[in-house]
Amino acid sequence: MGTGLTSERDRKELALEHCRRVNAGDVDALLELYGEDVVFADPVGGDEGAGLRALRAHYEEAFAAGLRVEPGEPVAAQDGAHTFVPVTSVTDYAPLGPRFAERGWLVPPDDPSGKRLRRTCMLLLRVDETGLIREARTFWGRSDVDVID
Amino acid sequence: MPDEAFRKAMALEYARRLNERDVEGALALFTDDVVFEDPVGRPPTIGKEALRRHLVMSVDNQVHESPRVSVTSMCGRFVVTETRVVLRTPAVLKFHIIGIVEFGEDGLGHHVQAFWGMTDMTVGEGRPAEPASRST
Repeated sequence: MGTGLTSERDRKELALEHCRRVNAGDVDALLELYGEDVVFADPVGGDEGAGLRALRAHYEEAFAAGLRVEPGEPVAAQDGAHTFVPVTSVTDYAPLGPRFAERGWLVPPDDPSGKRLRRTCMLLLRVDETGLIREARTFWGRSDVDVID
Repeated sequence: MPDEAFRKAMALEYARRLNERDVEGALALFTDDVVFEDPVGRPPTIGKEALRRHLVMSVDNQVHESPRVSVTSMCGRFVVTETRVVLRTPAVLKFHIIGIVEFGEDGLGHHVQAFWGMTDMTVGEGRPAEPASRST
């Protein structure tokens, strides 16, 4: 984890802007917030990736599943680099749900039609001195994902 | 590694013990060589003796922690908790904190990172300002 020079206010606004661009479903606009060598984990301890191409594939799949996010109030570290924001995300059940079920991350519903996935997450972003995101780590576990109607 | 329920319970138990001024009980949740970054970006408190001094100071300042949401990770190592913290002496200080606790296989906290900035702290009884109105 490196250090940068961005202000607390800028980092918090970046976290909220990230959520706005996710909800806009515009992957190009979203990726403008990231550095080319970004590393990411969603969830931490599960799927990890590196680079804009991998991140694009990650979000294109999520957007195709109707990803919507609702951020809470972000905080900022005193290292000039990190911001942390609570996020609740909802997607269609497919295609992520069956994959999560295969990995033992959730119990699949008897009838998945019309079902959605709701995840309670904490998104940790590390930004560089230019304000680009260099690392994104989304924390959630088995007990933080629900299948909802 | 400790399961998710254990990790979430630990986050609540830490707050409960600290709110009851049970410093030794709170310390028992951590390993002897714990690294405690509170806040991230400042020099960490390293080791249980140093953490004891940190926690004694907190309870002397009438700390009260109100944990909100906790989430975990798929690797068995982390719990992340959003917490509101109030200190009542020498003045009322309110903090909005998101903290990570990293566990070892022993079920103890090995590394704590408390993320909060100057814009996440308010003096007095007022509610913390919204991010857009902050100047830092």
